[in-house]
Amino acid sequence: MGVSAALIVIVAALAGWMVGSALGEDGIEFATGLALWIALAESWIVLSGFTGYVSLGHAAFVGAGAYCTVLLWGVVPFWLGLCLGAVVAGVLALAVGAPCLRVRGPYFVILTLGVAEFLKYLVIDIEARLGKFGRLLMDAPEPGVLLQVAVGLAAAAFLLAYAVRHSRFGLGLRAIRENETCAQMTGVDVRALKIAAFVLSAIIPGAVGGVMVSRTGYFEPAQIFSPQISLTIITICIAGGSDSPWGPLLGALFLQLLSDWLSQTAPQLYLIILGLVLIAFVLGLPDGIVGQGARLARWRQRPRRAPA
Amino acid sequence: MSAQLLLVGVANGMLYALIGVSLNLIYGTMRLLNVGHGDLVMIGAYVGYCLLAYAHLDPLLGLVAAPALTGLLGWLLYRGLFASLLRRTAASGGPEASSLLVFFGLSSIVQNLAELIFGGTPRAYNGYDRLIRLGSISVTESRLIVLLVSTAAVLAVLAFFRLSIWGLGLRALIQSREASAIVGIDVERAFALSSVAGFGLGGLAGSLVGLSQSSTPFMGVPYSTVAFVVIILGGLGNLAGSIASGIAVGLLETLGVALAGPSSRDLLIYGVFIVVLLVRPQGLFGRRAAT
Amino acid sequence: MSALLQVTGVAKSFGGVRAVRDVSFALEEGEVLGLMGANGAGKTTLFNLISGAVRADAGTIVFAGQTILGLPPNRICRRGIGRTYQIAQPFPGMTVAENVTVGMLYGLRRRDSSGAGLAERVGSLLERLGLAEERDRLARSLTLAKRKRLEVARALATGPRLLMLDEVMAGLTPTEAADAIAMLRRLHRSEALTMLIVEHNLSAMMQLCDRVVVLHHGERISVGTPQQVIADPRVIDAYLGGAA
Repeated sequence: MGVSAALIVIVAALAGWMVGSALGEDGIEFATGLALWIALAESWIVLSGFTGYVSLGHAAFVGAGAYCTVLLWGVVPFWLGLCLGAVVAGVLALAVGAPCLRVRGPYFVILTLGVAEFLKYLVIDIEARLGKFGRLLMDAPEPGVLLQVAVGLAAAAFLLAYAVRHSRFGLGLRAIRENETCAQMTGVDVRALKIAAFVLSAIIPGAVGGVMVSRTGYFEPAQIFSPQISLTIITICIAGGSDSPWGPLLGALFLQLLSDWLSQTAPQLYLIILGLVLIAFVLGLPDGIVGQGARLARWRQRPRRAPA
Repeated sequence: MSAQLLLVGVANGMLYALIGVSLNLIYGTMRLLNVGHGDLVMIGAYVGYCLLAYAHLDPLLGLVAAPALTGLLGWLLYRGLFASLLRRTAASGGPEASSLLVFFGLSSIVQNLAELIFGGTPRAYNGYDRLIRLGSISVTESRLIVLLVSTAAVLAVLAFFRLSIWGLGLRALIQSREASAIVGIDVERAFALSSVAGFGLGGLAGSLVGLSQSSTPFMGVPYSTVAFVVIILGGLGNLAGSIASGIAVGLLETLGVALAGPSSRDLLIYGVFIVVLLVRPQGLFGRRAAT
Repeated sequence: MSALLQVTGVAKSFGGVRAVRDVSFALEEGEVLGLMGANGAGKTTLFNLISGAVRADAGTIVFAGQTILGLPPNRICRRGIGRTYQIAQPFPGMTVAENVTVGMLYGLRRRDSSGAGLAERVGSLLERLGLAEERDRLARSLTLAKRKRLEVARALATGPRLLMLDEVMAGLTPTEAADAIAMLRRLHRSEALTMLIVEHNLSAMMQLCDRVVVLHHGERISVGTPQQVIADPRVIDAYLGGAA
C-alpha cells in the first residue's frame, strides 16, 4: 500500500481520461457520474470521515459552486468559472464553518442540514426576485471534455483524502473524532484543524457543482442544492467506509452501478433504495465495506500478535 | 399586531407546539434524532386526502385515522429498528448519531414513496374554508379546528405527563434512562409508548395541516425544522416549554410572512433554526450534561 | 530558585458550589507533589484549571515563568504540561502507536517530525512503558491497566516538563498498582520529571511523593512531607471527623 497505491489510482485516472472518448455516449455518462460522486465523497471524508463532524449539507457547496459558474457563464472561460466556483465554495465553508464547528455532535449535523436548506431557499428567492425560474446554459463543453474534468476532480479529491489521511494533519483530525477534549489536551489546535478540514472538504465540491450544471445544461436551484445530493454522498461514504480514501471509491462504484441499473428498470425507486442502503449500512455495517475489511484483517492478526 | 394576525399566529403556534411535543416524546425519552419528523405531517395530510378521494369520507375522520396510522408506524419502527438500535448503542454514547442517519434514510424512503404513490402534484380538498366571524375577526373553519384540536391534544399530553403514573415514568426517563431503569420503570415499554404517542401526534398534526393546505411529498421538510426549533428553544423534554416556544415561533412566522410575503416563510424558518442552534444549543444538550 | 509551577489564590465555582477556593502551592523542578483529599475536595477541578480545560474565576497560574491562565488547553500542553484523566480516555478507535504519535506530533514544543525517527521514538516510548506488544492494537481493546498506561504514554509523548496524573492507580489490582508505582519511580529517576499526582492509594502517595498538599472542601488545609501531612491534626480531623 502507500505511495504505490496512489500511483495506481493516478494511472487508472489517466487511463480513464484517455479511454473516455472511446466509451460511447452511455459509457461517458456513467463514467462522468461515477467520477463526480467519487470527487464529492472523497472530499466529504476529509471533514466528516476523519473528524466525525458529519455534514448533511455538502449540497450547499455543490450549489454555491454551480451558482457561481452559472453567473459567470459566458463571461469567463469555462475552466475559470469552475475554479472560481471552487473558491466560492471554500470561502463559504470558511464563513459557515467558524460558527458551526463550535456546535458538537449530532447538533452540528442537523445544523449543516439547516444551513444548506437556508442557502437553497436564499438562492431560490434571489432567482425569483431576478425573475429567473431556471437558467439554460448555452454552449456547454462536450461530454468527453466534462468526463476529463470530472476524472481530474476525482483524482484530485482522492489524492487530497489520501494525503490528509497519511499526514500529521489527518492524525490530528482523527484524534478529534476519537475524543475532542483529549485531542486538545494533547496539543491539537482543534478549532483551527476543524475549520481547515471543513474548507478543504468544500473546495472540490464547488467545482463539481459547475460540472454538474454543465452536464444538464440547465440550472435550477432546488435541484443543485437538493438534500438528495447530500444523502447520496453520505450513503456512498457509509456504504464504502469513511476512514480511508478507498471507502468512497468502492461506495461510489456500488451506488453508480445501482443507479445505472435502476435507471433502466425503475428510476423512481432510486432514492427509496438509497435510503434503504443507508439504513442497512448504519445498522449492519457501520464501518462500511472497507472498515469491515480492516476489522476482519485485524481480527485475523490478533491470535498471532497477542496470544491469550 | 392586529387581532386577526394574532389569532392566525396562535393557531400556527399551537400546531407547532403539537409537532414540537411529538418530537420531544421521541427525542426526549429515546434520544432519537428524527430529522424526518415532518414527514409524519406529510403522511397525516395525505390520510385526510385519501379518505375523501378514495373512500368519500369526511376528511375530519383523518383526525382519528392519521394518528392511528402513524402511531402504528411508530410501533412497528420501534419494534423493528429502534429497540435494537437503542440496546446496541446504550453502551457507546447513545443512539443520536446513528439514529440521525437512519431517520435521514427513512425520510428519503417515505418522501419518495409518497411521490411514487401520489405523484408530485399538490393534492388538496376544500371542505373547511367557510369563514366564521368572531366579533371583528373572521377566521376559516379549518384554522379554528387547528387551534382547538392542537390545543386540546397538547393539553391532554401535558395532563397525562403531570397526572398519570405513566407520565411520571416518562418524565423520569427523560431525565435519566439509567436511573429510571433502577427504580423499576419498564424502559422498553415506556419507549414503545413514547414511539407510538410521538409518531401518532405527528400524524395528528398532519391531518390538521391537510385541512387547509395542499399535500405534496416533500411538504414535511420545513416542519422537521420547525420541530427542532421548538424543542431547542423550549428545552429538551420540557413539554410546557414546547408550548411557549411553539407559540413564539408561530407568531414570529405569521408576522414575518405578513411583513415580507409568503415566499420568505422558508428562509425565515431556517434562519431562526440556524440562529437558535448557534446561540442556544444548550437547550438541547444542557440537560444532557447534567445526567 | 523559582518554582516550575506556581499556583496562587485560584478559585472556581460551579453555579454556587465553590469547588476550589483560594488554593496556592508551588511545585519545584524535579519534585513529585501529591494532591490528597476526599471525593469532591477539588483535586480534579484543580487539574482542569491548570491544564486549561476549565477557566479559573480568580488567581494566577504561572508555569516556567509565564502565566498560562486563560490559554487554550492545546497551547498549555505545548508549553510542557501533560496530563491523564481519572477515567482513562485514550483515542479508542486508534492504535496504541497512533495514540502516542498524536502526542509526539502535536504536543511537542519544537516539532521534530523527521519521519524516520518518529517510529523509533514511538517504539522506544512504548517499550519503556511496557506497551510494545500492544503497538498495533486498537486502544479500545486494551485492559484497564494498559489503557491507563497508554494515557501516561500519550502524555509523555508530548514531552512534558510537568506530568499531571489523575488517579492512575484507581481500579487496578494490587499487582498492577505496584507495577504502575515502579514504572512512575523509574520515570522520575531517569528523566527527573516533575509530577503532580492525585491518588487515593495512600501507600502509593507515600512511596512516590516528596510533598503532599491536602484539599478539603476546595481549600488547602495542609502541606508538607507525606509523614508530616498524615500526622497533621487538621488532616485527621477532615478525614475522620466528618464535616469540619
